[in-house]
Amino acid sequence: MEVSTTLDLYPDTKVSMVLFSGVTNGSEVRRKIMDGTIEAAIINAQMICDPFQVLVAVNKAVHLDKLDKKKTKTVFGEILFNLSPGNNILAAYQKFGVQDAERQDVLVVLLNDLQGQQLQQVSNIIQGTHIPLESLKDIMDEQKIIKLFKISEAERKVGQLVDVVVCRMATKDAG
Amino acid sequence: MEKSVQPSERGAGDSSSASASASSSKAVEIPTVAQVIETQAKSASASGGSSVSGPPGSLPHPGFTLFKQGAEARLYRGTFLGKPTVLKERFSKKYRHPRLDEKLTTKRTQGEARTVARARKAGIPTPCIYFVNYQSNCIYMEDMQSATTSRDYIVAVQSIHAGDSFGALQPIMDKIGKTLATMHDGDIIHGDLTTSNIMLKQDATMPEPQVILIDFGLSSVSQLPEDKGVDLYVLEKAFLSTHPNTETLFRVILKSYTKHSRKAKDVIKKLDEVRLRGRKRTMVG
Repeated sequence: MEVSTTLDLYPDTKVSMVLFSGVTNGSEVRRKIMDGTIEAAIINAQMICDPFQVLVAVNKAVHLDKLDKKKTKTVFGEILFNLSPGNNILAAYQKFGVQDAERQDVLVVLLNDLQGQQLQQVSNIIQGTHIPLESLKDIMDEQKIIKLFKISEAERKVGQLVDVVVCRMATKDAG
Repeated sequence: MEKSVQPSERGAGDSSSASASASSSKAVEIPTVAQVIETQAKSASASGGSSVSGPPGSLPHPGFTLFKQGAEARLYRGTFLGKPTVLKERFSKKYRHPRLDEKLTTKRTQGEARTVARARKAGIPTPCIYFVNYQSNCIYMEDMQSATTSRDYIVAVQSIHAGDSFGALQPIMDKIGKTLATMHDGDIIHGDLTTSNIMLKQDATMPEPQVILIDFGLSSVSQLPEDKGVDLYVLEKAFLSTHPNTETLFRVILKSYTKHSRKAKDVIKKLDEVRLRGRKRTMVG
């Protein structure tokens, strides 16, 4: 179920993505992230239109981590921050992190989980079912994404949604 | 349909491109954008692709190969996170003071990323930026697939229709004029408009070609009709010198620009002024 890839620019970094559906213990998961038990980025899957969107955020997070120029405390926090259109860290966590909803779908991103131990640990905490990553396109909420990024009709027509969103993410610190 | 095609222009196995032209009523004589793209892809793969040898001591980008070198930047092709990608690297200028050089290079990289984002917001198709590395001044952006420069397209059409290429090129010129109007209405000045920087994209899913603007390296943001006029003047100069005897063709761009831009009147007035005096403003006092 998990999909792994290495970053082109940082070949020593392995990224794994796992999609969980019908997660019922959102608040518990968030608590475990905050106290450091979970070492992973747990993303609200509704806001992700393509795994590429996540890879771009991970690549930038790893890049800034190596330069020690992160805006947030952890590389996982930085992934969520990079996904967000704005510069408010709390807003990024609220929109792209685990929700309070009773049932939700989350995308778990792990870094360098070579032995599969981190995935094992996260799977033990998250109460939900593994589903294939391809289901992401059925889960994503295009209207929510468009609203959050304030994508105008003209901009939407420029290309595919994933490209529009990725370009916004990549250029958000260009001022 | 392939009878009028010169063998040197088109690769072998042209019959496979016949399906692409079936939708166009003029297909019997005029190559569509999609066909020109296909021909180029064939000749590129036949020659094994060209590569420019890099300058000594340049930083290597694993998995990327250099394909173009300009005065400001080097362009590489490769793959980034699974996507075909163009890497634009602004290099440092050794003749400048290191501190100034670093500042200028970073500012320009940032500026380019900013205007690309702005252009997309205004609805101008431009290659998507995937990642900007401010440390090495590299921009990773989408490598346009199924696309050609309008320069190559115009040349291809002209080579087949030496006498009457006007009718064939008119619809494309109309689209270019409209795109430029949208860009200027968004107060974006491209700064380096040439037919090489205006690309045409058409794949199997697109009934009509799409105009894509590339290379915002010299771009700026301005509301002044003066700056927009100069922008058009630069294109006019480049257009007429690259494609001789195309005055009527360029007029189609201006006509379409006038039709689609809200502030066209002032800009065209400025363009006429700039034509008389040149790109640089006269120094008074």
